[in-house]
Amino acid sequence: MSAREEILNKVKDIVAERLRVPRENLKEESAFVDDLGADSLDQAELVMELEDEFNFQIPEDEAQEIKTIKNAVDYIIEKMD
Amino acid sequence: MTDKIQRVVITGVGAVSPMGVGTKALYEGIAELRSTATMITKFNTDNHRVKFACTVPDFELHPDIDPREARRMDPFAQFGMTAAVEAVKDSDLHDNADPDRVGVLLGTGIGGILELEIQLRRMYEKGPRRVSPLLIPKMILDIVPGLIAMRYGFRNVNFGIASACASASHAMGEAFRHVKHGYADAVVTGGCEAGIVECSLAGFSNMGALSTRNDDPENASRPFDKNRDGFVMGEGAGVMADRIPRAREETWSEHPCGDRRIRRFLRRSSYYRTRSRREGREASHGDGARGSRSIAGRC
Repeated sequence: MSAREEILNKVKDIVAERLRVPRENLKEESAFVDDLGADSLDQAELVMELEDEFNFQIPEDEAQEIKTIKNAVDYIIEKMD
Repeated sequence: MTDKIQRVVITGVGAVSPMGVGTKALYEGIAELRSTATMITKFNTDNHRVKFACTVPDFELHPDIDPREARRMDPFAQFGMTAAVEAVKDSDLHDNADPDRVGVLLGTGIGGILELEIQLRRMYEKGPRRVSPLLIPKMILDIVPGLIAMRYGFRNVNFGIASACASASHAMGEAFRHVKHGYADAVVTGGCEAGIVECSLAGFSNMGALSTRNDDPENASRPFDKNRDGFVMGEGAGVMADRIPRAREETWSEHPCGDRRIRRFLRRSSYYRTRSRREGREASHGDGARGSRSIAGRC
């Protein structure tokens, strides 16, 4: 499994658990608000969970740009590099 | 609005109690005179002076409530919403009332104290940035009236009432007044509590309010007994729908769980007043009375 896939899987786990969405319904392009029914509080929680899981802090203005699962994965990879 | 003083009737009831989920379980448990006090298992009580309480066994959310919504609720709100959905379904409010004329008034003593405890621990261990953005909506005392109103679109009076052990009684009294004096056609009312968490158990215990009969939980709750040594903590929710009667006979339909006698009693409770007592705070806790007294009776 590539590093990207591993991160994608972890992000999907967190999103499925947080938003109570069946994991198989999650696609990379799934948008938290538009597709998965999240609101601003859910988004704030998701970002906190990502920070906990991957051990870094996401500044608020950057957090607002994380709107899809793909955005999250790309952001995490960029931070790790 | 009308100048006439209305009679007030109860058209729906819902409950979550240590007897189980639903009014049927509550009614059957009362009829069996069953004690529900048992050893606490949801956290380790080794270091606690009191190790028992009346907890809700095998709680299940009302099937009409989306588990995604429930994720945003402290247990006290899950209890409250489960009882509220049962009460509203049981009543005629969901399809037979003007939502602008239906209010919600619910009482709770300490609200989402479990969530507060969890988030305080997070803050001390990991810092303020780790505190959940859901802390406030999960813990505030008036969240359940809000959730009920949002669910059903009830737009009349809406707030929470806190007066320690008398919170739900006060809420029901205030709901009664709102309907009686024509401010609303109906009010969903009652109370909910889920205070059996480590810090509140310790708090009540250390103020000497709780029974310490750890060797005999079943016989620990004994109000007015000369050997009473304190109260026993409990949790759950009770919600009912108060409204002006539409037609006399409609209020007398047989309830599926056969609680007609309970209804008859409540229906006769037709006045309510409150007043303050002179005793201090310490006299109030644990005796279901606080600094004020709710009185219901027939007139």
